[in-house]
Amino acid sequence: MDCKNIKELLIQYSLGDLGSDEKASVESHLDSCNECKSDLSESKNLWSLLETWDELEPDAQFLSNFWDKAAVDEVKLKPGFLNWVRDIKLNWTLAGAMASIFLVSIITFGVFSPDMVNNLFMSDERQDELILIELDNAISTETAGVLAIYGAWDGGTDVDGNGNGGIN
Amino acid sequence: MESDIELMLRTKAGDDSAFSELMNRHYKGVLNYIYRFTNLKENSEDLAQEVFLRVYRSASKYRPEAKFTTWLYKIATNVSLTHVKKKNTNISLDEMTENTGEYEDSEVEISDDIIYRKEMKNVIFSAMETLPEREKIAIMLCKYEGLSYEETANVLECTVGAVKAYVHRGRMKLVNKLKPYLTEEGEYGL
Repeated sequence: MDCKNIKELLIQYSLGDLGSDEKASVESHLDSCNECKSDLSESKNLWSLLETWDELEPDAQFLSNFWDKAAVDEVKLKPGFLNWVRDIKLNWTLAGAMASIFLVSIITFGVFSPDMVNNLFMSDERQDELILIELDNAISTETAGVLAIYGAWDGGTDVDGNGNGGIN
Repeated sequence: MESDIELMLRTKAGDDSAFSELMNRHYKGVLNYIYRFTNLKENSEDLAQEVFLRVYRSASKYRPEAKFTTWLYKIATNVSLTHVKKKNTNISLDEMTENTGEYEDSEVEISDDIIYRKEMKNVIFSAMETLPEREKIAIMLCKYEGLSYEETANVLECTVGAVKAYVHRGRMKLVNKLKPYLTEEGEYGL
């Protein structure tokens, strides 16, 4: 093996990651090559140098500090009276079915209710007719009221169709 | 002695004392991992606490499919990376040696050893910062945290072969960067 190949293997050799054959080749080369021997030495020295990076010691209160923060977190994550809403595990299928039944009930009641005038499905002509009837009723009521005070305005016209005349 | 997984499962069941035991085992490692990542002593405790808070909050969803340390260091790596990117802490060697705030009283006699170690810490950190992120993380996890290649591969979400390549390439680059500090016999000025 030449130096280029050996240099590729030096780190694995220093970490003990080589198989026995490759390890023997590297060691054989190192016996006769000062440059590669120097590179290996540097690689090992690097690993030792990295160990001079001092460690921090944890704060003596790290555990109690942690549990204080965890307790604060717990309060933040649990809102007040709405907590029970948050915790409801909703069966979406059931909820959807009930919502559908509710909607159909509303529509059915609205369409088929006998006591209510259902304007939703009425034709425009029928709606207009109802409006005119309402108007007539309103006018009739008002007119009858006025005539009761002032009498008829067109000289005896039978206003209400009952033989009651107006002013002459 | 209970395994990390057993302790985590007890935590999931609501036993906080199990989580305290986990913290006693791993807090220092995580703290120093973050410290070496950021080189900021004052923030490292807060970030380490953040890592364990995230683990604790996720306890209800924990599934013992991988080693606990893999999950723990994955979170620690994410927290560190996020912090570094936020703070943009690519500070120069001069800034680090000026502003660590450790030795403010000039009248206190400081041994040469301590001064040298402080300098070397900054030199090593600067050299590490020049490495691509994956090489730096691979070296830190394998060298300092004692994770296996396989565990490191899980943290980095790559193959074992890739981890070996990261460590190998990173180590060669560090040798070049730190050559002045590496002598033949391994003595570096103490």
